[in-house]
Amino acid sequence: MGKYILKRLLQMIVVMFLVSFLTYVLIGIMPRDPIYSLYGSDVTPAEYEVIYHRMGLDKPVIVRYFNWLVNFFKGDLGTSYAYHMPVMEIIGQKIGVTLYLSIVSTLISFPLGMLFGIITAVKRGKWQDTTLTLVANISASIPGFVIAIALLFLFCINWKILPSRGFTFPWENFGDHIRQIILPMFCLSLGGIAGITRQTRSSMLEAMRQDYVRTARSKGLQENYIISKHVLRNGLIPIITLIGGRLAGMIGGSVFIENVFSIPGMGTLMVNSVNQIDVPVIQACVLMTSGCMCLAFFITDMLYLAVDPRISLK
Amino acid sequence: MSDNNVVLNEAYTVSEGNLVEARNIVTTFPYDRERKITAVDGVSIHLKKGEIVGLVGESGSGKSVTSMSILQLILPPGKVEGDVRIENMKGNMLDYGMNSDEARSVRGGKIGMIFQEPMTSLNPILKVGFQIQENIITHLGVSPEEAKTLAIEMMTKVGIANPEIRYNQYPAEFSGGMRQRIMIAMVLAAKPDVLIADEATTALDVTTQAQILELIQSLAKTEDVSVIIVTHNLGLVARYADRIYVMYGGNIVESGDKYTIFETPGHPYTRGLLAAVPRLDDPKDRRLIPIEGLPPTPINLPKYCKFYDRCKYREDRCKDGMCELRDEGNEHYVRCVLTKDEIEAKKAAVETESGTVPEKHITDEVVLEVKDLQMFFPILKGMMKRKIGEVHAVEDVSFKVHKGETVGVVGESGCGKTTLAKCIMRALTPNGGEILYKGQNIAHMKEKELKQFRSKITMIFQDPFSSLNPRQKAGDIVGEPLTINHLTGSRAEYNARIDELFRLVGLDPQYRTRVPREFSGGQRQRIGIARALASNPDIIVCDEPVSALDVSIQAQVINLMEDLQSQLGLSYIFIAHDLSVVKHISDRIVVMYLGRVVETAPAELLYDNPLHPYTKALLSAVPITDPKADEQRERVKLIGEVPSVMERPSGCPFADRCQYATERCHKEVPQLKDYGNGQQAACFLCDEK
Repeated sequence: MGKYILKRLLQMIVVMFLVSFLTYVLIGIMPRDPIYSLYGSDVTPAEYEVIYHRMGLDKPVIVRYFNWLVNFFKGDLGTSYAYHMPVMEIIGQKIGVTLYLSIVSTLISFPLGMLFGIITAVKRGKWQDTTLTLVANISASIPGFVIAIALLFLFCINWKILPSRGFTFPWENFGDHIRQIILPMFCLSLGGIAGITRQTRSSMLEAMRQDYVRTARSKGLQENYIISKHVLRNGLIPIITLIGGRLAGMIGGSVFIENVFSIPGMGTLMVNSVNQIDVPVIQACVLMTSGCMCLAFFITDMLYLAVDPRISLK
Repeated sequence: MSDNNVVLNEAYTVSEGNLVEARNIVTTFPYDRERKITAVDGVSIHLKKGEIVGLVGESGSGKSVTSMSILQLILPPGKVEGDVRIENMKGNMLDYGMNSDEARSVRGGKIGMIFQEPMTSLNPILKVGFQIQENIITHLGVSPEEAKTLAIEMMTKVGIANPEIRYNQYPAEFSGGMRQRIMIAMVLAAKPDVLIADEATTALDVTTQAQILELIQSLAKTEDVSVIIVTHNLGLVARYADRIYVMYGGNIVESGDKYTIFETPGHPYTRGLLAAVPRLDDPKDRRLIPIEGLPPTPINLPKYCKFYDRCKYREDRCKDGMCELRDEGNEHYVRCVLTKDEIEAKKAAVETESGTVPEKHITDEVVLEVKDLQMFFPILKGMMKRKIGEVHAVEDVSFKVHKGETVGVVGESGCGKTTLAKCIMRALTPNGGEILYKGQNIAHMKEKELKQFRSKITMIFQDPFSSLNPRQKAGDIVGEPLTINHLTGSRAEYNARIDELFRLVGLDPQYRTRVPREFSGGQRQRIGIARALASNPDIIVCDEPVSALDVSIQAQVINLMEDLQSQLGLSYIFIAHDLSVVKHISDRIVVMYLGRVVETAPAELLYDNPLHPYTKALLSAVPITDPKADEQRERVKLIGEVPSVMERPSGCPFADRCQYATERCHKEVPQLKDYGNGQQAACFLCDEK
């Protein structure tokens, strides 16, 4: 068990290392001179030469990457070309917002999706199933940003009941927070809830067909007990694996939602820095996102370990 | 006792001495808008206190559905009608509804059930102890601590070592046989009156099967439980049941005391079944008599006898309607229009004399010789797939196959019989030893050189469903070996050969354009045989070729294989776990245990005078479909279960389970030694005798 956790942690570090190296090399290909970007185009050739050496641009890419890595461990991710501020500082301001959105949205969509999924599976073929499945199918097939724009138009422009932009943390101003977050959170979570509902439904139905459920019935156990003790955990194990992917998807999805609702998060930052070819920021963003994803998958594995005894046996 | 002669009312429970009485059970499942599947069509059974009843029938006969209907385990949209009375319960149980308190107190409380698949019948994520005590608490209403004590007590009774530790383990930590023991413990812990074992041992090895059934038999006495054994295996009910119900097409066609059923079967179907199964004590040349035709489809069943289409005794009056079970006296009931005397009178006219198998032409020519064959598989571990050990799947196996001969290979799962087949087919390259095809060693040949031999050794596979490409036409499946080996020149020649092959295996060549799913299981196996024959092979390796088929169909395929052998001079290597079938078809038998040959002998001699203790145990684990003859046989019981090949004991592989094992057996590996008449055994004890 401990060995398993250690193995997963080790794999995570290897993945992070590879991701950082690949992005470093790939972004290096971008057609933008870091010196002009940082110091403006009025740098003299002599100054250019000095900076060129100071920044180590004359060294091979492996060495530069290694230097970057050393700096990374010192907590220095370079300076943004666009903001002329340390990257760490910029990211620090934004990542909290995105993480907050992603985590809260996951926390909302999983329990709700699972709940709806369980209802549809247990009430299979009844009106509850038909209605919920229909709604889930519709919401899963409309892209989130379409809903976002429609809601923005209705609530913020037409009826003017909700603000169309901005973000406040709940501990700063709770009222503002709720007003600002309700639409983005709805758009961010809707697809997730729908998808999880459908996946939970099929997974639960699969679990109900298993021989051990028949065994449980043959023991004369109560139907509700059979569902909660024998079906639920087996049915939800495959759903738990989705948490990692969902969290990862959230970060991608928030790019749209943050842009539509002008929320100053990683999504907005990523779009802006790609537009301005802000190399150090892109690099840091990719690293942060992949770090979050690795962490999400690690959490998934640990959840698996907790719910499925067969894994710790192997 | 006739099951229909009592007044049924609210207060009636069961007649004196009975535990369960089910009358006129009809179980249907909707098929499409108009039609429905009638799985059980008016079945009445009863179970007396202290008896073991066998419910036998082939697949689709409705035997499992009957037992599940009684317990109300049929889920909607399936529908159960009829009348089920249980001792001490008022009224018809079916009236209460499947989730009522009454129905639930019967399920698990009064009647416990064990299912076929030990691997999937326990919840993988709950500890076995939890699953046992859950049943106890539900039905006995004791505290969790008390339930745990009872559970551990029951686990001890079913033969589980270290029950305190095992209590907290998950199903994945148990072998198939052990899981079935857990199931028995779970069911019996709630102190039921009735235990239903629904094909409970079908998925297990023969020796484990015997252990489990003997356990059920002895627990039935000590725990005061009556048992219903639901099975397709006639031998099992002959050995373990007291009374038998024979089912066909959702009806009970015959019921009675086991001696009556096996000695003087009344119904043509029962007679047919008994003539179709090979028996261990058969004379060598007995030919099986298959039941022609196919079992009825449960959609739109006829209103008259379901067996009519396949019955040799049928008359026009059979179609007048379904007849009742006729009392033949002495609790023997037969559902047939014809009386016993009428059947006897007709017997001479309709029964094709059992006859003998076609003559074999065994020559001295050795077509295949396996010498000291070894096959090891590496055990890999970790991310880098380091090799940490080897599994010796086949070790020092040697035997010869003569032209026209059938060599049977028997053994339980993990004995290496399939690995051996794969080596002979050269799907695997053995690590050591020789495989001589007509004197040429093909064991380590390169694929290019091997090509010319590929057409000479072919294979028939176990599963007729998955071993045929579902999207290929039957003609193309059979023709593939011809095309690959360039055996036919022109298109016309190719077509003629395929028609010939179809006729050879008893299929209409018109069926060439059909795809596998349009054929029945037996017909599919015929296609498999035609494919194996296509390239004119000398040797056919048959890996469990009939184990997936029902007994009536099995006999058809076995007869076909015997005919083909006589006609074409083929040699068979017949691999199976069913000793009766292997004994029936083989001339010589090789008995394997954990990758080693422990005994080899001519088939008759092996049955008459087995030398190795494992052979003895294996033989005695297989019941004969004649209860009296079976009772007189010597019974050798085995200790424990087949160990994993990963934990091969040093010395004789069988030593740990052998009741005669000495210290020497645990240290040295006995080698095969000749004991005359072509019999060889690898056991130190044979010398001492």
